[in-house]
Amino acid sequence: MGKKKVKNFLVKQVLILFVILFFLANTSAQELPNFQDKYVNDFAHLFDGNETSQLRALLINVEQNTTAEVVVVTINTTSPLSPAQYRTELFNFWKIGKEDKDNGLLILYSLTENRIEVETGYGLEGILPDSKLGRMLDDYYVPYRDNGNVSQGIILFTQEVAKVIQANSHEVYSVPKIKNSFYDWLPYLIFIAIIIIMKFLSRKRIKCKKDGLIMKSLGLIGGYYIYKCANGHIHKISKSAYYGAFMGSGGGSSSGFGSSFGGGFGGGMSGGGGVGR
Amino acid sequence: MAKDSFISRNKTLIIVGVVVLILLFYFVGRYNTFITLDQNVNGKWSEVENQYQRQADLIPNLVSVVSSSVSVETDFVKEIVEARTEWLSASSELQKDTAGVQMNNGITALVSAVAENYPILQANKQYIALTDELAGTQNRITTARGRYIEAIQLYNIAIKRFPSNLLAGLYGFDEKEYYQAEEGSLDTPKLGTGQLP
Repeated sequence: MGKKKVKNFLVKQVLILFVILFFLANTSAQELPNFQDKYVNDFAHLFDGNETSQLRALLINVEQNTTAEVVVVTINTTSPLSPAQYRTELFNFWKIGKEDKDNGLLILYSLTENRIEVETGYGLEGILPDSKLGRMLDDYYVPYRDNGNVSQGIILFTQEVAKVIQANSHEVYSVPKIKNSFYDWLPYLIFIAIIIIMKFLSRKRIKCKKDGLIMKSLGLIGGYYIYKCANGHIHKISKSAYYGAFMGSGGGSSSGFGSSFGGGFGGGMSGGGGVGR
Repeated sequence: MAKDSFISRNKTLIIVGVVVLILLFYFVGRYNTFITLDQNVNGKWSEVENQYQRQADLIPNLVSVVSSSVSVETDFVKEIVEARTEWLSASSELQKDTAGVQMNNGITALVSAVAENYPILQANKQYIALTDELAGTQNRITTARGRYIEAIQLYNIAIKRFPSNLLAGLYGFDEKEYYQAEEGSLDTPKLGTGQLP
């Protein structure tokens, strides 16, 4: 009896462990927040209303002039990731920057760690190398942070970054992306075309189409379907043709590629380039 | 009813034809998928290599800046220079990666040692710029390696799943290995956290 109890207990423990592991695995995938705004996401409530609108105006301007997407984000903590990992993950999760130029830049401040992290998209690495960003942080951000005025430091740094991007926007390196070419899809298109042609071939002409459509099928009699047209005429049709005619017309579907949702980022990538302080 | 008899007469032929076509498209499609995934792995690896190369290129600067300013423990410098030479002469992916990890760790050790013993260097702009580049490069290496391993996993899943595995064998695509012995070295290097001393 005691043995059984122990066994039950063990089974329960294992089950609980699995449940915990399951949730852990799930939560770790959900660490990253979704963006609320394309320019300023102040999750840690660091900025006042004025500062937010000032930053937004600046970054909207940068995007309009250069198409570069610069985002300022504040969060409470990057845990369990390290700040550097977090910035790379977030950048590529949001896909900051235009897809063909990878001209995104993420400025991330994390409150608990008191760290600022900057991640550059591939396309901006040329004009904003890590060492340059580091120097700009030292010059514009660090003095304010050390005086306890982080938000002012971030604003000044962001303004400097915007200046560099606007002055060098013609140098943004565009990254050739490997796309599925039309020819990759050709076999599938031919295949679909064949199916459609087959369907048309097997579709019997319905005699009363001119009079309006087939109104009513009367059922299967002697291997033929009998149907009645709108004008009252009654015709018969073979079984396979019946399916071609009656079923072939349904089932139309359309699917558009959901390219982007309102005000989203452009699909840019980064490879972990950037700097932190 | 003469017209629809074409279909009924050749029904078997048409069905066989369609099945053959579907199979053909499947065969070709799978082959192209394998090729794409294989190329993807190669592409991701060359990105890893690029970033190691970038790091190797930074080492001479690091060594010269450090040695010109302070008489730092020569052991650290020697270790890095050796690891760099080894990386440059390595040929296989495994050798490159092993040497690259050594190079990475050596740099981290040197930078930490400098931070502890020579705070003067911390104020040297050239040195700061170098460590920023090195930290960024370490983060890039981590990212590139992560993507490389993801690419291998994608590839392996594709060639091991039934019924693709039969075709993969036929085409001669083998499972790719990533270094399980090196798992530990996949952790973000200390410099890569940006937590520069």
